[in-house]
Amino acid sequence: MSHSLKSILLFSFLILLLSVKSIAQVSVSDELRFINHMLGRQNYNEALFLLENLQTETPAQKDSVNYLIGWTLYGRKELNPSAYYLSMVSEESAWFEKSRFFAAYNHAYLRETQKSRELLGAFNDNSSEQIALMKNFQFAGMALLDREIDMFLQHAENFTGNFSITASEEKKLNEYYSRISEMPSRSPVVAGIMSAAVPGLGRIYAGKTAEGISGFLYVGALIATSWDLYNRLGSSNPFFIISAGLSGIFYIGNIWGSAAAVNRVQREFNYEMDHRILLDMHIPLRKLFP
Amino acid sequence: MKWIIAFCLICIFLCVSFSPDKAFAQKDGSEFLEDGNILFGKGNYFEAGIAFERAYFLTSDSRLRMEANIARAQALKQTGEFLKARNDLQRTLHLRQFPELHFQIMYELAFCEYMLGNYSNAIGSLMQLKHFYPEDYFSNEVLTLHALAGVMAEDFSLAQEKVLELIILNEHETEIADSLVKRTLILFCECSAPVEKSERTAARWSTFVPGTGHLYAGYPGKGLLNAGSQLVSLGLAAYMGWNNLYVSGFVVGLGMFQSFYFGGIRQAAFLAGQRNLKEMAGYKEILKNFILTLNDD
Repeated sequence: MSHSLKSILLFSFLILLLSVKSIAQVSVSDELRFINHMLGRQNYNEALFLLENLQTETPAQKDSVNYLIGWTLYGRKELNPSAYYLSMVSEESAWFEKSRFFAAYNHAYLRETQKSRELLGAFNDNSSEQIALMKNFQFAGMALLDREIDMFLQHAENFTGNFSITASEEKKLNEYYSRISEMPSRSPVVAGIMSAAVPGLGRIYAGKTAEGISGFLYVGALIATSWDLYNRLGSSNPFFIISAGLSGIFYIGNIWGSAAAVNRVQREFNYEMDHRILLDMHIPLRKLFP
Repeated sequence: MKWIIAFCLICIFLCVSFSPDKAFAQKDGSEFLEDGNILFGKGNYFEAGIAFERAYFLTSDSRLRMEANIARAQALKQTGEFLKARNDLQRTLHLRQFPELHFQIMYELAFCEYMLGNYSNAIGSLMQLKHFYPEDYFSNEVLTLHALAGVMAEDFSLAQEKVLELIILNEHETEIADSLVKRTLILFCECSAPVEKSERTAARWSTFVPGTGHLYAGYPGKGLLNAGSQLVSLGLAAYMGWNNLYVSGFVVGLGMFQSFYFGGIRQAAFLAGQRNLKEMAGYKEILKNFILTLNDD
């Protein structure tokens, strides 16, 4: 076989290889477009099914698949696996910044702020100003979630108020900081002692006035009944014994309830604050990465 | 020669291994529609739904889009996803150049609304359908759906009208038709519908005569028990007071009495409401069964 024929065959072979390869790539990107369409219509289960069955060939496609799986799981509120897939998106991907921030947010939502900080640590000093400001804002939110007041103040110093994406939420975080630092710390022991002295007073101290008054009335009524039965029927009468027993149970229960009320009020406050902080961490992310 | 053979073998190998046979790239909308129909026929509704959506996504042909959308709605209906089916159907509701498909979309939309419990929306869709396609409207399935939606929306006169239209449409023999009309008039008559018990009246009865609100709501046993409990607690208060146990009588006897008294009022109103729901559900079930039997005939 002549040398020229060999060259032609080799050339044709290369052309064929390239064209077949590019067809396969186009088809994967077509499929990704279709999956995006499914996600846009909130068909999460179907999108996930397609993504799991998609064979990727290039790192860029793998990144797109990881991003889409993470985003689908995020839509289904499966935050832990969502964070996993989003954090797999490589720095070369156009989705990198969005994926990183949302993976970090997912961890913050699950109260794994250490993991969030590690993920956001990927953005170094070379990052754009927008990213640096957003990173600082997210760190401030996490510090508030962890009730690390000093750390929050350090990050709050960098709040410019000029970055339109986070400006209003920066004010809100400062407001939450004030509410958290002004929240009086109440002692369950003090509440218990107060309720032992005057039934219901500990609940009023805990901030539950209505519960306190109601506790005072029912424990007071039971004690008054026992006193009445004791005066009329004597201490050995079974009615008095039953009534006194009940009064004792309710009296001790009221002391226990007052101590628990302090913790409950604190829990309710923390729950409300955490949800507000998380919401205000989320809004700028959706603004920056629509 | 051997070089040419080697070249051909390499080409075949590459074509087989890299061929993007993953149900995309080369196929067009109509092929996906066919794939979907095959999957649907095999009972793979989830995958059929995806194939139909692909057909919808890939084509710009309005007719194919409508067909794919209807087929997808059928697949979603099979998996019980009526909300998704309704939302998807709404995408092609504006396409009116193919009346038979537009009619089908409107019918499916009304059906999904019915299954979602949005009966007034279902009636609204069916009214529109009647307006756009007055001739096709008079079919067994559309009239049945309209009658059922009327029953569920508690618009019994509308349901009666649709059932009568259904009887006329089916062209029964005179004797059978007469008997069906007679049954319809009796069943859908206002006098056949359950009489609603007023929750307020039940509460008022129990306020003045303990236990009678329960009796009014149709629960005499519970009424007797509530009245008895009030009597016993009052008796206890009186007995304790008689024995100079004034504080105990007040706390225990009257405490129990007020609990039974006010609880009895609330319970009477609740039971009246429960009775209404139960009786109305039973009545609707009778009407629905009648309509469906009519359709079977």
